Amino acid sequence: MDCWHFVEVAPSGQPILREGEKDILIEQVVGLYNDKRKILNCQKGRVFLTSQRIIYVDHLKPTKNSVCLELDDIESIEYSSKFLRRSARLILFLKGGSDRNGSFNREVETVTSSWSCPICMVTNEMEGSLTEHTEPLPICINCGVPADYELIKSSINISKDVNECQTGDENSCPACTFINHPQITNCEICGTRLPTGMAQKRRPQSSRAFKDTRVQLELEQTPAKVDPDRTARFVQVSFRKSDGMLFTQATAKSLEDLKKAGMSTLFNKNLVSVDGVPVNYDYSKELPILETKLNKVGIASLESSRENQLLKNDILFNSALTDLNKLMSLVNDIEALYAGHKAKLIGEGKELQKPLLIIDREKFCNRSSFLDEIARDIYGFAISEFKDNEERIGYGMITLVDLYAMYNKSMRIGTGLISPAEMREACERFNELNLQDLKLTRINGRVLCLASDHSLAFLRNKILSVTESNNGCDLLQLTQFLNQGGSNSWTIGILTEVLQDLIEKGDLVTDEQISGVYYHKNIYWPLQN
Amino acid sequence: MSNQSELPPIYSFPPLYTRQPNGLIRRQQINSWIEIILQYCISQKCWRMTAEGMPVGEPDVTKQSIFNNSSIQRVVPQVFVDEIWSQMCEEGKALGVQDGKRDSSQFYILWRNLDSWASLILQWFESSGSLNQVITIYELSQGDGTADWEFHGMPEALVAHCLKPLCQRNRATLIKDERGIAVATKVV
Repeated sequence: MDCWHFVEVAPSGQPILREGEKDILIEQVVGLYNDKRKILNCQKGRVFLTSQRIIYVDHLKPTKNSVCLELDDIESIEYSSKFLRRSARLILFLKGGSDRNGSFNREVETVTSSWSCPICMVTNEMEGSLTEHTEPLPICINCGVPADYELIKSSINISKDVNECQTGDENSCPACTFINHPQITNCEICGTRLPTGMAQKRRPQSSRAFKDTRVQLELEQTPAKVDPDRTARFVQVSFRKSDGMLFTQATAKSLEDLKKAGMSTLFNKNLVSVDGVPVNYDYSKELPILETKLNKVGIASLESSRENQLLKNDILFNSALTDLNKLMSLVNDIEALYAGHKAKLIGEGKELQKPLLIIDREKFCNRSSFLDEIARDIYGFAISEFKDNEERIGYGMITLVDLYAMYNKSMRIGTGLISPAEMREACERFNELNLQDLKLTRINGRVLCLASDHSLAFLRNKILSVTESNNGCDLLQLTQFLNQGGSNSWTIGILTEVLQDLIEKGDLVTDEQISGVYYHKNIYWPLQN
Repeated sequence: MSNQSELPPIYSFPPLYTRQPNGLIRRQQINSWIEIILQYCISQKCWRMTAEGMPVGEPDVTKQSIFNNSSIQRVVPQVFVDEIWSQMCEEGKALGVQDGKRDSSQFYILWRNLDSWASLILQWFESSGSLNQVITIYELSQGDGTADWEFHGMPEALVAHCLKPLCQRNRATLIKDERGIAVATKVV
């Protein structure tokens, strides 16, 4: 059970990834098993494969029932295909299963005992507690005589290992050298997986010391007697709809990559060449310059073949350079675009948002699952856009057109823009996806808005009170009144539509002037209804 | 207008001067206008107005349209004024000067409808003992005998209009001059 960790999930149902973590694949509709038993509250959800973890996000309670599994903890994987009613499964064998049997040692290791040799009076130390039953009895480091328990009994001093933290101090990040808390498994600064963290986790005291109460898993009660000591260390991911082959392969690959990455930190990291022979050099990509077809015989043919080769190489290099230049100019363009947008956002006093996940079209096998993911992403984006607004007055509202532009501009650069139709379809899915805070609302039967609950009514009342207290307002004044405090939370577009709506409902009357239309509260001509 | 104190507070409500886009509201707005016009005419004893909203007849009335409120600088556009007149004629609260047409350039303002004027005139005939006598229209509208009556001062053409319902009930006969204009009546 302790292999499952709590994972932070945004209200939109997207896991919050660590710094430097990348998502690789998403699989819909899966269930989780701890060894052979079902985990009851994790039976319907999505599973994300990232470069560091396998994250399960529950469909019903994404923020509560979501768990993750570190890829580092996985020893090996196995795939079992669909058989009759049994759905396809990915079995993940965990590391550290063998450590489990030494449950006695676990207690001992943390304790040191000191005793003084009755012969030479040297104080010796040993791991574990020294008792009558300790076999074999320790040997004095000075005189090499095994101790006799009866003789050393009085000098035995058993102390708990308080130096635990000292070993933890070595929990420094291999990438940025930040010294992390010993129980942290990922660097706080850069998110790199900590090598000591992994080792420590298998050390029993850490599992005893810290139990994350946020992980609440209910196991299915199997009638068969389960011997707790002999439980196999594996978990299963059951694919309810798909065959999960792709996910299995991707997991296998990322495990392999992780292993490789682990190796590279051990030996010859960032090594370019050994004895003049380049490392990691891909020979298959060497230029195919050897011409084997010779038309002529003798030296002439060799010469002409050589010339041909040189010519071809020249062309190749030239085109390569042009391509490179094009690429560079594109990169510059994109950078400029980003910089411009960033400056604008900072100018508005907002934080630059970073996409949580990279939602790439190619990662999804069908349009529907892509749209589901996009919907969550949009939801998360819109919520964060509303956040400062929401803290102040509790409501947010944005036209789909504005949202579309904003979302594509800030979140979709580099991952492929989405079409307006896709955006709309995605927004229509909010309810199905259990995302309740925002709704697609239609004002005046024509303009689609993404609005939080009651925001429309709220805005209506606000406009009415402003127009009443000011004895008539034009659009500009209204905007200024509503957006006091500097932020542009109510756009002119929304206001125009709501005003239109109010006029149609008879709550506002207009006063058209050459200088513009003034809006007054309808105090003389009430409508009967 | 000069005597704004006699007009309701809605008269200085700026949206009154804009044709409201909402149909239901606009109907009420027009009703408000009709009430304003009637109230104004009762208080001013004004029987006729031009299509622009100027009172006609009284020489001492300031020549400013009722549809022009200089204190809040609002004017009703002519298109909307026409709409108000047309609605007023439909409800029988105004009558085009030229043969009762709705698009005439002047309107009689009827703060009572024609039938009610007719019965008021009949009441005068009965109370003053003038039944079965020939009474001129001039006498009816300007004569001393009607000075205390509400229809005193009514334009003669309008009096003739008001007598028409009596004619239909065969209570009155109109006596016309050679040009076909009613000059006298006899009520039986």
